[in-house]
Amino acid sequence: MAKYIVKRVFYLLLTLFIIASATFFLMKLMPGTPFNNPKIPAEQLAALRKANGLDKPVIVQYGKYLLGVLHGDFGTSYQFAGQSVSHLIASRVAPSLQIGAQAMVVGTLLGILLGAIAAIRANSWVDSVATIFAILGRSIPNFVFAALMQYWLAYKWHIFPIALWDGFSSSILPTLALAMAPLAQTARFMRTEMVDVLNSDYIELARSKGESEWQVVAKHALRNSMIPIVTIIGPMAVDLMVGSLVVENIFAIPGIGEQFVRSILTNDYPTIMGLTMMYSVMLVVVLLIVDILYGFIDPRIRLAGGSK
Amino acid sequence: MADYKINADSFKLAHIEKEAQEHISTPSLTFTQDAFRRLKKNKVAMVSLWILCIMIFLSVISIWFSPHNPNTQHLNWNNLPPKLGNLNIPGFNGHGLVRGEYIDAYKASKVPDGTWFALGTDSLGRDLLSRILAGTRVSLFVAFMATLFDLTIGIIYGIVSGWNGGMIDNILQRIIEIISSVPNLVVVILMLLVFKPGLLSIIVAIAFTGWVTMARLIRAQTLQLRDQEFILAAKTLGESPIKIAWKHLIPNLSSTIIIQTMFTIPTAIFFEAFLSYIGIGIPAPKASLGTLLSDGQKNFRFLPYQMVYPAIVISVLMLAFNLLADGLRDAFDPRSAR
Repeated sequence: MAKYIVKRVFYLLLTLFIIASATFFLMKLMPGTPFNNPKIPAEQLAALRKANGLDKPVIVQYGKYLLGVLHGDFGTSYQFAGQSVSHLIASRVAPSLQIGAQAMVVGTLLGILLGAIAAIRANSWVDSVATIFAILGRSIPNFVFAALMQYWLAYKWHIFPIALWDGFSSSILPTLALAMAPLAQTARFMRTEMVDVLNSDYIELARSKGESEWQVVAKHALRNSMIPIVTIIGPMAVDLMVGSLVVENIFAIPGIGEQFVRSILTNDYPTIMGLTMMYSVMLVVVLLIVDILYGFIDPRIRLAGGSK
Repeated sequence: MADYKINADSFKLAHIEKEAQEHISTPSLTFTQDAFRRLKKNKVAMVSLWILCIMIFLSVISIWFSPHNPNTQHLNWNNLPPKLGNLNIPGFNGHGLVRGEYIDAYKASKVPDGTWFALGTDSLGRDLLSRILAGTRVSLFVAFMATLFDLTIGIIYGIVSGWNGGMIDNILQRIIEIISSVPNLVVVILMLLVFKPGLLSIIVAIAFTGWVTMARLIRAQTLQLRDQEFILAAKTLGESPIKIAWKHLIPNLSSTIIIQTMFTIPTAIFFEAFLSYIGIGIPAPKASLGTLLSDGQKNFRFLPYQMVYPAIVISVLMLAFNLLADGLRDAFDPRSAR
């Protein structure tokens, strides 16, 4: 186990190094400069370039950049003069984390519930409804969900605030919009697992001991069906990050997703690089934790076997 | 005892035709035929297949038969509500809410009789239906091309990796491990930043991130197939590895390839729409489902139809692809759980 973790951490660091280098050189290739205002006089431009370290050879810039990354320093934002990127990101992490976590919890819990009910009442109308729900959640893009909910629930019926980041009530709609995909995914997964488990021998044993159906489900079936759900938490986290980009934009939430889109549209390289690194770190770490957790939760799984 | 005569005829063979015994009453089915037979029984999948065929047909035929030119602007006729000829169906009669009053928006904008826009016009007076048709075409094109690329790369990579094994496999798998741990989105966005946004760069960006899953599946299957007798036979007969891959591996991998392809297409459609939606996808004035959605979003509160119709189209498209993919998986791999 320890050897496995060490190996994984090594790959993690290698991956992050490659991402950091790739983003740096890609940014260097990019057309356009942050100072594309034609009114800036030549000497002022030179001064600006010097202040941002853009006059040095690329390799020196690269070294400086890598050193900065190690310290969590991504330079200063081009878009907001004088603001350091790490500061900018830090000020925007909280809303994104809140919505992401809420969506994850809501999505998984409701998904488990829906999937379990569908499995217990397999091939009944409840099952069909749950299946339809899961397919809709998987197929319809979350920005469509977000926009439709914003129109009906917020604009037409005034149940929730339309946008703006102001307290818990304004986080409900974005959470729901983001939770759709994890919900559908979990429900689908849970149903398949639970149907398998309910047909297994130990459930038969529990039934023959005279336990009530409720006890069988709650004590034996549910727990064992939930183990594999851990494996989809990783991909789910990725989906949530992708989803947060648009959902935060639609609901005007001051989170990192919204910042990412804005930085892309304004050619704010340092911020783009910083956010790219942050997304990558979060993702890679989540995947690692999930893999390790899975080995601990279910000892039957041989970690050496497969990578994913 | 009466003498019982045993008839010699009793010992003759009953009338049996050798051919009749061996007769096969139903035609023997190949694997593919069998799979399609199962698919045909799946009503949901068949309906999805038909819907997809119709949508693809309509979006392609609109190159020649579009109700209006999707890029022609009628600045005086902007934001007209849907109108279907002179049929007076609520929602399609050209009446719109202006300052709290329902009025005939077509009359107010001085649109000549006989000119109508089935799904209304957008903020630049372009016909929404034509744009949706053109946009669907672009989205489908991007999705198909991206899938084709990632299919080709994935299959070649997977077969090379699985077939050779050893050192080559090890290196190729490490590369995959690294690529797959970079978030897709980050790669796509970075690529679109470097290359100019456009059809080709979107296709490349989506394909670049999508092939990994295919390569993994193909490799795992190749590893299993590699040691089987028919491959050994082919090797013994002196067939070249390329010929073995083409003639023996790929036919045996076909169900994996078909299923995975069907799951890749909706993902590609989603990614294209997503990128266009956040503004780094298909550049204006070209329409795609994503750009239509993001344009519609701007006027959503007052002119919901501009967003609702593209939303319906993309949702139906995604649903149909996903349901068909599910159906195909059940058909090709009957053992797989739902």
